[in-house]
Amino acid sequence: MKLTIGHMYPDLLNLYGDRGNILTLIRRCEWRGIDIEVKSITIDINTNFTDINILFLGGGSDREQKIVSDDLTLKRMKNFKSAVEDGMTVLSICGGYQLLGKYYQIGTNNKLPGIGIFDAWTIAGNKRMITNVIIEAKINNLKFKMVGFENHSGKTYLKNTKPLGNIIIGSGNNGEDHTEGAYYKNAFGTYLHGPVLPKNPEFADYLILTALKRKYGNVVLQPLDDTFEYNTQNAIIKRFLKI
Amino acid sequence: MKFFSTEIGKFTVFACKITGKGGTSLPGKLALKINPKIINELIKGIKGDKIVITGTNGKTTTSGLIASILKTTGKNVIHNREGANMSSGIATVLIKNSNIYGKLKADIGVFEIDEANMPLLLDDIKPNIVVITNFFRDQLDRYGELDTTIKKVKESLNKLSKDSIVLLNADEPFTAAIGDDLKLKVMYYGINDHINRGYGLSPSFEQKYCPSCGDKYIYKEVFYGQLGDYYCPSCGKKRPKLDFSALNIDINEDGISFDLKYKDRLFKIKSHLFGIYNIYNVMAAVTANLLLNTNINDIINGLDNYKPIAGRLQKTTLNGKKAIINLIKNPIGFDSTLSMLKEIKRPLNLVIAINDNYADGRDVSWLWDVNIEDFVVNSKINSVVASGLRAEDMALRLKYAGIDAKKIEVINSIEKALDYISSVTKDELIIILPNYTSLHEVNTFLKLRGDDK
Repeated sequence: MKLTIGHMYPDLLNLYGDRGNILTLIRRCEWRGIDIEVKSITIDINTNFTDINILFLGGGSDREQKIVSDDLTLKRMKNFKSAVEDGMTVLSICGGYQLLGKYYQIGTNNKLPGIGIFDAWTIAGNKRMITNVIIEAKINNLKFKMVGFENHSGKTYLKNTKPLGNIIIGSGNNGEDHTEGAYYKNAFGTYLHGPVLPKNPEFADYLILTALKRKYGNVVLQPLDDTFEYNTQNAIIKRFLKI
Repeated sequence: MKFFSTEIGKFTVFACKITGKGGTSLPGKLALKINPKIINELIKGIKGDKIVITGTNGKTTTSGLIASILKTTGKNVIHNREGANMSSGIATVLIKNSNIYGKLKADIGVFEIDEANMPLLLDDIKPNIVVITNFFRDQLDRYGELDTTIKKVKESLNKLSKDSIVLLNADEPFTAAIGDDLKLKVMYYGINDHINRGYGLSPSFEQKYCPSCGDKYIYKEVFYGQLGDYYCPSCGKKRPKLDFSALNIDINEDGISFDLKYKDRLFKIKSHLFGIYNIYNVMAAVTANLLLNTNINDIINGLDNYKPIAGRLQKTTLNGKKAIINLIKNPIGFDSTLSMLKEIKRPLNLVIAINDNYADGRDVSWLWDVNIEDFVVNSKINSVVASGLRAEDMALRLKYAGIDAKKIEVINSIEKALDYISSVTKDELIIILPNYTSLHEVNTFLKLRGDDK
């Protein structure tokens, strides 16, 4: 078996250890004998996503998001949307997540259009939400805890899109409605920035499994020794939930 | 007010001494609460030049070198040597150097300032030379985005007196761009040699875009991180012309040497510091001193006299076994440290201690930006202990870097981690890599055991 990861704009959207997510997908596949290839998708390199099994978009600063917004909406919107409809696995974080919504309103006269995978929009806030985060993730019938760190001023509001989970500690989408992230089919967005996958192995494996299923039909993932992964997750839960 | 707040500060210095607390910030913090203008008032006691050093990496070494050279000339130098580089740290060092009437006497002031605090402090200090080393991603959770920090630094520079000199690292695109349309005298230093040793492939490579037109910079040379000789193919913007350049660079186990070219003169420079990034630190220090008209012999002697402060390649022993301590606090610093360690042929026993206290930055995501994979492939690693408040995160990072999980111990207590590593070590070398607040814990532990010599 083989999976291809498309890393979108690695030169533009690359903040806060995004590299850790790619590394985690690579290792967790490697440990199970699944071949993996990473392809960089940069500006002007056109793609119809047919060769991509897992698409990754990281975080970026406002300046870089503008360049990405143009490239996404002008050149890729149609192909991107139909690949998601077809079940392509997508993980988008922070800046990348915001541009998969309908728009990101930065100032009164500055509105960055997104591609509308999620029925969501983002409005720049005055206060940065910077803290450790613990959520209860709910993906279809699955429920598990996830931990991470958030650092964003954009407030994201969801309409007809499900959140990735509910906030236990932290701000999440907007600091108001206790939701965190979003998902539609197999496309996910979250503010748990940077290395969200290493210490959330259920989520990492969920992405790998959905990608394998779309490509190969019914597949079962071989379990791994996740002692280190859960020790890291539990250390954060213990410390910040004080249990 | 000056009298009273200096008194409070002095009393706190004394209290810190008898309680054994470091006291590099607290006295100043209290004094500033009582009199927010205390820095502005005390600093008038410095009769001569005032030099400010800021940037992400290299502040402590560069300012230490500048101060060491100036001391060699016999001048009375005030310098926040312990690296407390926010308002409270600057106020503390001024209080420590003034008498009980709030009078301070010094020839010259050398101040390392945190880049985010610089806009707040520059107006009080009014330096006549400002050195900016580089801007890397560092503690983004505290500073927000790099762009904002750089913009604020630039705005604060424009408020300085017109005869001040700003000395910029030309090889670092963010820093060099600060010189564009600055209303002060700007001079640039950089490398004019071929020394790429694979640093260009670092995952921390950050800025590659032209600030004028947004196109990608093309690099003729990459020295480390995003530092190099670059130009923009669209608008023609390029690395500024170098006023001071390093040529004929040599790096070996004993240190670094190079020729510094200024106008038509060539100075032979040597330092026992090593690593490519120290070429920039040494160059900045020499350059600043040339601008201060320091004699070249004093410069050479001052470089030689310089002792790195605690935690910068500090040599020590643990249970009689050789150990080296080096601070790691951001991806590029960690990367450079690992590149240096790759040169050591002996097997290594590592303690990596990561805290996430406020001073460290609460976010440890940056650990994933370090190219530990490359280090694991190219070094002999006997055992590794992950320690500190974020020991589990560090251990997980090491596992994904490719270290056999059986070789990784997780010991949160730094004291216990150091005890453990010294017990498993035989003839090999111990390498202790703490981040900011864990370095203090390491040094406290070594002092208690009398191992700090």
